[in-house]
Amino acid sequence: MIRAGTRAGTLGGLANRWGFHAVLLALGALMLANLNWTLVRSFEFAFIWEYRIALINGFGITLLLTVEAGIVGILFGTLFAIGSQSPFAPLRWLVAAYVEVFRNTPLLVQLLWIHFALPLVTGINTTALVSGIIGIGLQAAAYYTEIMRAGIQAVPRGQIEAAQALGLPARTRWTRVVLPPAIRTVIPALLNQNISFFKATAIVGLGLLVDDFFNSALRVSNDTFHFIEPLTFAAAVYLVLGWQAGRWTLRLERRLTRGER
Amino acid sequence: MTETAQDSANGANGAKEGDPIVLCRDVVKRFGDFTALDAVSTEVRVGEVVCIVGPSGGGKSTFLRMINGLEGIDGGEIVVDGIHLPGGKKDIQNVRREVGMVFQSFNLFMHMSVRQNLILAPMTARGLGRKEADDRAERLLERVGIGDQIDKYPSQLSGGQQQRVAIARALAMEPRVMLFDEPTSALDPEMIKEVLDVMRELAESGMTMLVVTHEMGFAREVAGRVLFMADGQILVDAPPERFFSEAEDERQANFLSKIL
Repeated sequence: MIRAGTRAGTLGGLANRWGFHAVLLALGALMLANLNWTLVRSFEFAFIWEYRIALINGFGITLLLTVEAGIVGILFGTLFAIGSQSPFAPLRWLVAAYVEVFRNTPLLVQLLWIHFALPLVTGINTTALVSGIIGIGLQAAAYYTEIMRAGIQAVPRGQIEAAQALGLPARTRWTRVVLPPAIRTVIPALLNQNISFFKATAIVGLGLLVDDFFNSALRVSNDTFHFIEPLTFAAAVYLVLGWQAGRWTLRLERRLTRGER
Repeated sequence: MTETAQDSANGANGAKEGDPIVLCRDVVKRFGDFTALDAVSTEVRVGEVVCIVGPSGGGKSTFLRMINGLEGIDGGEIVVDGIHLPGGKKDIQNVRREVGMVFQSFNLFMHMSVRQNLILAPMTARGLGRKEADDRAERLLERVGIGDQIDKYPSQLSGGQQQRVAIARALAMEPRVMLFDEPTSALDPEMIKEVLDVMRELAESGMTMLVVTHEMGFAREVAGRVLFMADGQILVDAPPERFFSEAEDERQANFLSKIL
């Protein structure tokens, strides 16, 4: 976006933009030419309205999981990131192991493991929603740990030395000197990550049969024998919200960097 | 005066005027194979102003940073007002409350106002109330000549003003010793004087100061002693009149011929 803006005036930039649109147009034409028009004409979206209550409730679950991933992820991610800077090596290893395990296994595998294997191991049974909340929270914490660690390491060494030289207690050093600028630096990265988790909630829905927005849309399909319309509708909702959230994040990022020293 | 650490056997003992307050015995610092400080011994008495000069890489800053525990000690010991280093976390913390430090690059907390920079340490490390800390901050900013800037942010101040805030921030802890690590090296020439004036006033008020500096004029006028450090050793320890008139070491002569 930024590049297109800065290069729009130049001849090359112009050619680039026209080329981009031409390709889009060609692809669109190809699709239209090959569409099964009989099928397309049979589409009707109006019946989705009748399932609005179920869909809104499902969207509430999706929102709950998204916000939970954000809150739990940032909270534990921050704590783990602090642990990753500890002079105590075993603590650093523990954090590193946690991050690697949860970032390098598929969310779906984690969710199924938590929901079906963990009860056998621990004897504690959870509902699908609770398993989903735990699973997405654990994975969010791993991703946010890495983001927060980057933010912490971007704080100039001199800030920490000044805090040490003043004799600030370790807690104050973290809460007042290191974390505020660290968090400010990574706010855009945190929000972008949360947009990813907004989409990942669909995996919780399908994998654990939690009635989130996506699974609710699939239920509409089963109920009406119309498969394509609810799916398309769900995709459109994710697209519009994710895209809009991305734009807000970009705007916030620009404002934050403009205010920088 | 030293309400901290009375309970510790290894605690501040309240050195009086003329007593040694910083004692260094055979202090060694290594970075890997490189010996940055090679058995440095010296002492600084209460109220003394000591300037440390010498070529870069000679160990001046490292030595200064060891006095408040920013660098670990690999051999020998440093005693600050009765507190022995190397020591535990608590000893280092106690030393840091007695010793203020001013850095070359100011290191003000950029996300805090000048006021917040000044009251943070007194409130969290000294247990001062908000009102007391505020009064102290205002008084100290007046003293360094920028009382009207208290609610600004560091980025809104000039380099000279930022360094004066940094000095006030260190003083807010009421330290018994002040360390200055090339406090004017990052400043534009027209701002050096305002910072040196504050330091001069501080010296006249009786503050014990160790100053790593390239400002020979300041060393000549304000210092009681000048230490010349090179290759990790103190090669010369002399009053400024003698230090600048008759070189007693070849490297000192070489150094002086380059900068004077």
